Amino acid sequence: MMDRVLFDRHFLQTLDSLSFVARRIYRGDMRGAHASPRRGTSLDFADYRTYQPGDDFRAIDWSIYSRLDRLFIRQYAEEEDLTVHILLDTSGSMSFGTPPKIDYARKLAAALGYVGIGSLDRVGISTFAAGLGGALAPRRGKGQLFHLLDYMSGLRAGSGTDIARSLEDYALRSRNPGLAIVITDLLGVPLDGYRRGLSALRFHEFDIVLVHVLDREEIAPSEEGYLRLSDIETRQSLAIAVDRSLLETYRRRLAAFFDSVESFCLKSRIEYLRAATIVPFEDVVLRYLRQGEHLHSR
Amino acid sequence: MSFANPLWFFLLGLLPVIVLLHAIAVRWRVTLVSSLALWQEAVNERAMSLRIRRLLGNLALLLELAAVIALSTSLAGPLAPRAGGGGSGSTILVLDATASMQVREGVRTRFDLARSRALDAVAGLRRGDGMAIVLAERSPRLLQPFTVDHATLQRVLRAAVATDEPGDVSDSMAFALSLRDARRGDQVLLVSDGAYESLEGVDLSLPWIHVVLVGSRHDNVGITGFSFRRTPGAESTYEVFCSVANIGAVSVSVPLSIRGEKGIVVTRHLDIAAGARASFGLPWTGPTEGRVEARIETGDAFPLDDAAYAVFAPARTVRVRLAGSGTYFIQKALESLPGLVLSTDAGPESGVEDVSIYDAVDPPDLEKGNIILFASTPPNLPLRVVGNLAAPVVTGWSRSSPLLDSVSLGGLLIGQALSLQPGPGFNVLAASRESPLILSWEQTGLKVIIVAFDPQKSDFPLRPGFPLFLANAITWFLPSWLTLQADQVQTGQPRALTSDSASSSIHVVKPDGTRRALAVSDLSREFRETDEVGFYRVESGSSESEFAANLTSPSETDITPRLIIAGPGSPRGGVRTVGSTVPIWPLLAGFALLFLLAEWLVWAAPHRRPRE
Repeated sequence: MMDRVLFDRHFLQTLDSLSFVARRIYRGDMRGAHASPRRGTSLDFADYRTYQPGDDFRAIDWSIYSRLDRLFIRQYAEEEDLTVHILLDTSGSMSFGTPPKIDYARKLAAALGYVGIGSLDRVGISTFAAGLGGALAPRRGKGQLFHLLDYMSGLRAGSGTDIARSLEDYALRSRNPGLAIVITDLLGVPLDGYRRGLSALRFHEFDIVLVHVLDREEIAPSEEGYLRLSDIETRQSLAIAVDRSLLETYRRRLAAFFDSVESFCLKSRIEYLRAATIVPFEDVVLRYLRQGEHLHSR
Repeated sequence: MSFANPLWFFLLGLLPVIVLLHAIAVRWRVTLVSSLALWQEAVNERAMSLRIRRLLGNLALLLELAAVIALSTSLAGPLAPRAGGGGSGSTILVLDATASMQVREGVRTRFDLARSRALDAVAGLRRGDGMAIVLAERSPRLLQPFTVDHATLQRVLRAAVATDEPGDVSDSMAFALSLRDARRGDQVLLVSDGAYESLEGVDLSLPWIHVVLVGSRHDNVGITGFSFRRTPGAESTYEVFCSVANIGAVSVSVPLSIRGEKGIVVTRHLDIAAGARASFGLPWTGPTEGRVEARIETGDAFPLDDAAYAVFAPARTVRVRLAGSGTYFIQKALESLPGLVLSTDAGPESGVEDVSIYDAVDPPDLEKGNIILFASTPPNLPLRVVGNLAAPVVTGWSRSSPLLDSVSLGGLLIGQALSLQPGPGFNVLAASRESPLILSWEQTGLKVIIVAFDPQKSDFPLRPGFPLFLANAITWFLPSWLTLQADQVQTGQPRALTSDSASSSIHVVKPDGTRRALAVSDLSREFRETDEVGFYRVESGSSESEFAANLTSPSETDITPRLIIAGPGSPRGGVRTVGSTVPIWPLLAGFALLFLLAEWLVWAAPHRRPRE
């Protein structure tokens, strides 16, 4: 069972000061803290429009009438809530590493969920591996935080990975697009399957943050000699003599993979953050995600 | 670079075994990875090099492979060309063509291998380098004088064949050395099987003598003796004598059969210990005419000595006519010899005698026949009597002459002898200081022996050499008399041919069917091409006769290569050059030891160092 005391007080206080910002303006269901395409009653001036019979006289801008001798209505922006979709990879490869990447990802998801709930946003979480797994529907309110923690405490990494199919399915099923935070190691077969999945989300109006979780041994494997490499997901094995030269080739391949992911995200306007498990996840949230476009101080 | 014993390269067969053992012995560590995808891409990129690097990365394996290579190369006896020893000038190639070169080495013979080596040597000649080829047979034969035409050399070598003759390669080497021009820097190259103890009189350590040995060790059983002789004390019975040698490391039981033209006469099983010889003599119960063949069944690599041949020619009766008054001692000596029919009729020759002896009586003109003259001279031969000698002392005689074989004339007391002045054509066999005492004359159809003194006026008849002298004389006249009941020669030996008819030529048909013609006018009348084992047919006019040629040579039957050449390893079965090469096996052996030491250190290192 996942420890409910995930974060210390100071970290929680810091999280309280954060909120999500979406690039797009989404239509919310309830009033919230995010801009809405609707015109509403906030104090933020939005626009003028010509008076129509029946409009509230209180909204007429009399100073303009005195200058132009025409009636205009002042419109104010509406503020609504934002739906934050946390998509967490629970494939077998996420159990790899020290600590396991799934643990790191769960903490990251919990922290981001806390931020969303604290910003009066609706936060939902869905897992995926070979397909879509369980889901916690997006809700708002402090109670959702406990549901979120309970849900994540029961998560186990185990099966294969099909990022493309999983994210496509999610995009099709979701009625309220919003901010999608995809936490994954991107290790599926094929390796570029993430492109289809993220594109599907993007086509369905999701604003996407991709958190790429990696273990130190994946980034810089250190073992040499006669190794029988066993895939933690498929249990397939590969017997090779690993030497420095081969390790160098592996690192070159990995760098090329990173480049392709970054390039794709840049073109697709996806915020991309690579998170190694050796980096404290607090730093990931408070420093690196804050430097991005989607997590701001209130 | 050449190798004294390349058979040791079989050790290189250990290389794949070592690699296999290492491949089996590799301990694979199971390592979990989140995905094989990136690893697979990396491996695919380096697929070729990885397989090699997997092995190359194993230092111990590399050292073991290097040690085996160095060790096998060292044992193979590598010989590097000596600095400055390459030599210039021409090469005299001595190609061993004696009988032992016909030993089979797999599908090829030693001679085939030797010819290949010789062709290699020709191919290695530089433009303008000359070569002469000497074929080592019973006696050396200059097969090709010096030439720079390499194509001619190759053609001559390809046409060369080994003979069935025994031979001494030392003679051929001596001949080759006599051709060598030291100022020109000529090299002498011997290609041989080395089936002899040494090369007498040849210093193999000389830098310009190169030896290439071919052939490997084989066991061999062969007939080394086969002859017939008249049974002592009996006129018409004969004995067969046969000798078989076992040149091998184990005892053998060999079936032997001797057959005449009508079937097998003698069969025997000979049990012969390793390195021993079995000999036996038996009364001959077979036919006393025609061909006889002895054969053993061995199936060894040298079939040439598994058969021996003879043409059984019963001793002929020799009719001797003795003329003269005081012939008592001569008559008694002749009566002691077998196979003679003696007549003492005086007067001219009747023409049916085989030998005529004139003792102190003048003979008629001598045209043909076999004549011995004691104290008389033929009127028609260029021999002049200039007087008489009193008590001449024999000062010298020809010991190599077959007429004086085993006859000693030392201290011979002669009361009186004719003083003679021989003309050209006479062969002086014995002489005093003043005059020849024994002479011979030979021309077509006529053989004459002249003894310048009357035996009764000397102590010659009282000496054991006197009947031997008469026997030698009759043998010289009639070679088939007495000792050649079974007409056979050893291969390579000349065979004297006789012609009783007035035919102008003699033809010899060799065992392989080829015909050779000899002119009767040839004084030597020796047939020298007895280079094949088997039966030879001699045709002279209407008469035909046969003789046989055999190897029957214990030295050739011993086909074991045993020529010792100082240096690393044994030269058996391989190629070895000496003189202009330097052995480098110690260096390679040192490398092998170093590799093994390094391998041990590599192996021991992880055992001494605690694992982290």
